Amino acid sequence: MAEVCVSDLSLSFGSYRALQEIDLTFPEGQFFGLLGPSGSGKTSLLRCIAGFLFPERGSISIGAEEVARVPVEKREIGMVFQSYALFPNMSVAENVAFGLRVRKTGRAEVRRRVGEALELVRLGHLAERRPKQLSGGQRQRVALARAIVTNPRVLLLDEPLSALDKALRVEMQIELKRIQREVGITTIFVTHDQEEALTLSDRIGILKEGRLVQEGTPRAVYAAPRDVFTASFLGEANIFEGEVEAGGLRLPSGEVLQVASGRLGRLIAVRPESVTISTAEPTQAAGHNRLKVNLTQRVFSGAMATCLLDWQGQSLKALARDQDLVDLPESGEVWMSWPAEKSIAIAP
Amino acid sequence: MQRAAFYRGCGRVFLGLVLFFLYAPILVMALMSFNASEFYVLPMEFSTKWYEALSRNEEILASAWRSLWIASVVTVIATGLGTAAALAFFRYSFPGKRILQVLLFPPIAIPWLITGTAMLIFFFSIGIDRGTPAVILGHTALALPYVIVVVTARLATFDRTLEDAARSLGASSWQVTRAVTLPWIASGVVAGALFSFAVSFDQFVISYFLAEPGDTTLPVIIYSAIRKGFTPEINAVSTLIILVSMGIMLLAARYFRFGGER
Repeated sequence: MAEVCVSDLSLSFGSYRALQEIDLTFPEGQFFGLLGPSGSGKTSLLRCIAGFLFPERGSISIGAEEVARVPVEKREIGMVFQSYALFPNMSVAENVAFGLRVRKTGRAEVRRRVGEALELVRLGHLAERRPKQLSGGQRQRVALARAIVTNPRVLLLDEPLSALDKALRVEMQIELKRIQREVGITTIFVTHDQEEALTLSDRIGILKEGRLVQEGTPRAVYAAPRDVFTASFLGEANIFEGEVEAGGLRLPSGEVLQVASGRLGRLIAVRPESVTISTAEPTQAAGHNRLKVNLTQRVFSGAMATCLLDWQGQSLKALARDQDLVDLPESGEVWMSWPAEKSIAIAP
Repeated sequence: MQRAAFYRGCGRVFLGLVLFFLYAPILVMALMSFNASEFYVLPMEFSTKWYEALSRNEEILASAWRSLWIASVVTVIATGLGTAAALAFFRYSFPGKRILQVLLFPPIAIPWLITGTAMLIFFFSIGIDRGTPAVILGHTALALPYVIVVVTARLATFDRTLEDAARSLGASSWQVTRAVTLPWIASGVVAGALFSFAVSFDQFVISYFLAEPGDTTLPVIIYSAIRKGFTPEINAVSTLIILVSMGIMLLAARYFRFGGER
């Protein structure tokens, strides 16, 4: 168990700059999600921390030890790969025992710790199976048991759930979180699935084009994204652009959108779930924004429904409980409104 | 439907012809090694006299043993070097790697007669005399590309992240190779070893050029025996060789089925 600290980290592949001046601390015992689109550098960062890639500049520390130049096999890490990478020539128990065997652990202790690890992931009964006799979710658990049985200082997960179907993925998310809590291990987790990152992480870091864009708790980053990229990558956002003036933002069309006091920027983001759609015109009030929009489509998805809107040629979205939309026409002019404090100001 | 049956019939006839021309000569040879007559006179009269003659023929026996141990030494060296080379090509990138890989193939295609002549001239000019060391060098050079090609083909199906996973668990480069990579490519390594053995044991041209006249290998002895006048002893020794090589092949097949993956 240890804190992982990355500072001023840069990595290039030829002329391609994969990572640029990354400064990031992964707190001890916490679940940290690295999130970004493909090519954002999140996997490169994970592989630098693992020791498969060596940065040309910057430092990486695990606990008090500087490891930027230490090869992977000496780093005392545990890693789960996207493809699980279970050894096909070994049984489940042998797979889990591998890390202990190479450390010359005694036979009795290997047996005990492999048993414990398999119990932790609830696979004690499958110890003698071969990996190819297991389902995707079971392989995932074996990979996890194998990665933590050596008591590594940090657990690295490279898109561990992306190969599973949706139902299983949700189940494994809960399972992963439980195991991480039980073991209390510092965990760094790479994903391109924003929902997964929000569900699992104590803290998240957003990467884009090799740079760290924002870092914080999922709730804080979601509530106050620092730029348009983060606002629309983490959840969905309606973006408005205009000129800053007292108390809000003047749109090119002349309307003024109010923003909670103290926060100003040329752009504001409004989450689809923050807005209310109505046929009746909302009363004009301080601290409240309203726009007349064109409802183009309603998309029903069970409990919730998405309204696709058009406002002066710009597409907008609103999310509401379907039962709140019964009075709404299928399409036509409606009002969209939201309280000023739900306008997220973004400095350009 | 009729047409399909016709094609199937043609296929069977073709298969029959292939098998006939492959195995009939071998079968005839094996039968004749048990025929008392030196001139293949029928009807057959069963006799083991050619095997007895063989057991007293020092020249053939000595060359057979020499062939066997040369082939064994070549197999060990070529398989070891070839596997290591295939692993190096798989794992590392280094300047000239592509050129090296391309250079491996021509020796398979160049006629052995040409290679043998070139080796004879080259060895002579750098002071390696004709003799067993020269034969081993020559055979190894010939067998090496086969091992590399076969092991590389096997490595193409290997998932590299398995090595990453093993390293992340603390395994040294050698531990990774032994516990993860070698078990995966084992069948390729065994196949490569069989190829090496066959290339060396079968090798006539190179041995003919590089071995010392009085101290040569079995194929060369068989060749000169045929020139001097054929004796059924050659049938006998050939039959024994076929039995041994079929045995090895069956063992290998059994190993691939039950010992390796699948």
